[in-house]
Amino acid sequence: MKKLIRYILSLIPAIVVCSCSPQTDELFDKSAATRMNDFLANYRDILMAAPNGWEMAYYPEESQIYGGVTFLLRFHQDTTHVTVATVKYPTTVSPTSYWESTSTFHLSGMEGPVLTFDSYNDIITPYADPDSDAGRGVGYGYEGDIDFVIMEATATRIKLKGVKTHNRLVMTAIPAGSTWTERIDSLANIIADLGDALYTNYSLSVGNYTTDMVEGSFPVLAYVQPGEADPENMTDMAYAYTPTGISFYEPLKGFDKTVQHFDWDPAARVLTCTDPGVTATITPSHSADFIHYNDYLGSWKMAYINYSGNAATLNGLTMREVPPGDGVGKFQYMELGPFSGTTGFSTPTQFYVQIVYNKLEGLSIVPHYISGATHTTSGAPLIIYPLHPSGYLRAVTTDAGLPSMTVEFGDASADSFVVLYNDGGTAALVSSLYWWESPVLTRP
Amino acid sequence: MKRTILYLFLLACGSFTLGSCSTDKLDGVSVFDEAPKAKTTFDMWLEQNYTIPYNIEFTYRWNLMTSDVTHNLIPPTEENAIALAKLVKFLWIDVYEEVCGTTFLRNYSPKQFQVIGCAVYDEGTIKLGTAEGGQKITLYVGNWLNRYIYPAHVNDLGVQIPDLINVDGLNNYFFKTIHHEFAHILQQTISPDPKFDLISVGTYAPSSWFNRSESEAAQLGFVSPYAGSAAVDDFVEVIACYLTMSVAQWNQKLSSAGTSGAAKINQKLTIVKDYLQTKWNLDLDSLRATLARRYTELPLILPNLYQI
Repeated sequence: MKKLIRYILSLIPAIVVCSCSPQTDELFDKSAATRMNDFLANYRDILMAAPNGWEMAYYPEESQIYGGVTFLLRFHQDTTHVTVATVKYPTTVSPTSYWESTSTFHLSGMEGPVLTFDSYNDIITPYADPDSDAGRGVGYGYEGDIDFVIMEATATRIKLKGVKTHNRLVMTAIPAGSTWTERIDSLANIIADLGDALYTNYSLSVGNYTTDMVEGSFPVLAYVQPGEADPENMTDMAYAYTPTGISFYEPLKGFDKTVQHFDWDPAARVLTCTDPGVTATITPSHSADFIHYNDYLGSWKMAYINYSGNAATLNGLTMREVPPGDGVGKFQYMELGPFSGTTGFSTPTQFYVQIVYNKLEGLSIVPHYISGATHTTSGAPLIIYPLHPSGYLRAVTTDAGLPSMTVEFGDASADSFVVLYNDGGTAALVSSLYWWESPVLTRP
Repeated sequence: MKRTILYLFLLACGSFTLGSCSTDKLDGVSVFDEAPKAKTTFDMWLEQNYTIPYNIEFTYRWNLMTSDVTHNLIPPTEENAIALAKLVKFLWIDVYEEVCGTTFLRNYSPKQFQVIGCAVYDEGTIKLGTAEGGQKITLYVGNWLNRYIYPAHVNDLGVQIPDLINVDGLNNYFFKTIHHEFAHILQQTISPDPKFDLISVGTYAPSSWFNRSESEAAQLGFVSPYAGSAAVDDFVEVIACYLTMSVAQWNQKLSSAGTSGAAKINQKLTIVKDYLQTKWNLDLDSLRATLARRYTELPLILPNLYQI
């Protein structure tokens, strides 16, 4: 027995000697630092090599509750600067829709190779700014990333993961021949035509399965998955507008094929899935009581209290489109007038008050867009509150500091609305409109 | 048996030793990114005004590794970073240089200022600045700077807006923090008189100081609620508040403190002044007067504050 133990023990030094041999094969032929630097150099080259830059759907917040937004990115040859472009909101078609900002970036090795937007970029950085009152409000903002782990990169496609949200994002090389202006214009058109139409109902059809989809105030559509017995148990899917339609953050859940990318057909008013081997559509529509853009156009008269405190009426007002269009639900400008300038105008003249139309936000008069007036000063924005279909004014708090309000109003049609004014401003135009106390517009 | 084990042990030791004798070549590649970075005009201004004369690094670009990773934070806009760099030079570096000399500043100034664009939000409180070991001061809310100082301009609506210089805002959100943290560096380099710690002993509230109002804190003999957190912070708060409050504001503080509170604050101020004078040859009143004069000179740098 002792001999046996000796024999066994005598094997141990052999094992120990082997384990100490310097002749081990390295798992990698280069050190970790060298490999990381090689990766970073390679990724830097890939980022800069795309001749026409990259397109990315950016999703802030770890559950993508605010939906996504499409950016175009170009990494400059100086290895330091990056230009980001997107649609300027409110959406209007080129050239005013195009918005870009140039800042700096760097690549570093942390939990993998990380791409960081390291100086303030007017387009990306606000999504990560906790001082912003957007999203969950001050202290949170939209809770987006400015640092991204590069998961995988080829000359045409880079997969990223947000360092804080862990959201998975994809940058796709923009094909040569497609200009940034064209892509942003296309994106602006999709947002204006589909997004700003403010559809209230959506119908999803995948193969034989059909269900309603519900949209919140951000680009997120909720639906009931096939086989789900509880109709209340809906799945939220964030999406982003693209130059051709919409793309969801990930394939719609509950289907055995990829259902993720849709093209918008503006004539047929339907989104059609472009993923291979699947027949799927999303058809948006408005509810019957929805007030359309062109409901506001045409003739109006305005009752108001004048500066003497007496009731007065202004006849012959017209609401018209700027520029003239088809009057179908777009985010648009309108003009109301003509008014005659009185107090505060250096040269009394006729003018129109320009109004920004947004079905969700109400109608905003923007004084500095007033046409026909010769003055140069302007004041705080005035707000027109459209009537809610049930006959109530919408409650809206504005940046101009007007209090939020809900006003009961007898007429439930779209033929009347109330103009409020901000008398807290100091500029000439506001004081001239001061005399429109309690103005109410009705059809003549 | 024992002998066998001994032989085996010696053999194992020998094999370890032999194994450890093998030479590993050092990899010539650094783990640090040494690629040259393009410098902006602002970077070069910082080099000329911070790095070369004082060996201070002023950073404004976002770096996750050197920041608070537990919060969502962003870099400042370049305009705000430029203005803050100029203001820290004008209202802090130049003031100490004038009163204490270049050598003092080179020896004791923090070696890095880091600017973050937003606040750190924590359960209803916001953090304005932090200091790490007297080496690095991080200033948050860099993007709030233009709320407190901005040159005259015409706004988007065509309205002429006059010069804005809000000294209290600048002090509360930026400069009090810098004076506070720098005082910590001095305090950690040469210990103050321990008598200071006895003046308010028993009334420091490390975990609930923020529940005291300004006047409650004053009546207990603290120049600010935070001064009531611990003696070390009390000491530097006396310096920071004395430097950044106007004479009227300081007198108002003493008056709101009542007889007992004011007596304690004055006692603390005496120790602080004596400490700075004897240990550092630094006249706190002279520093305060220089700083006050600098504030009146702000309009001189205001027109181009946000540009290089």
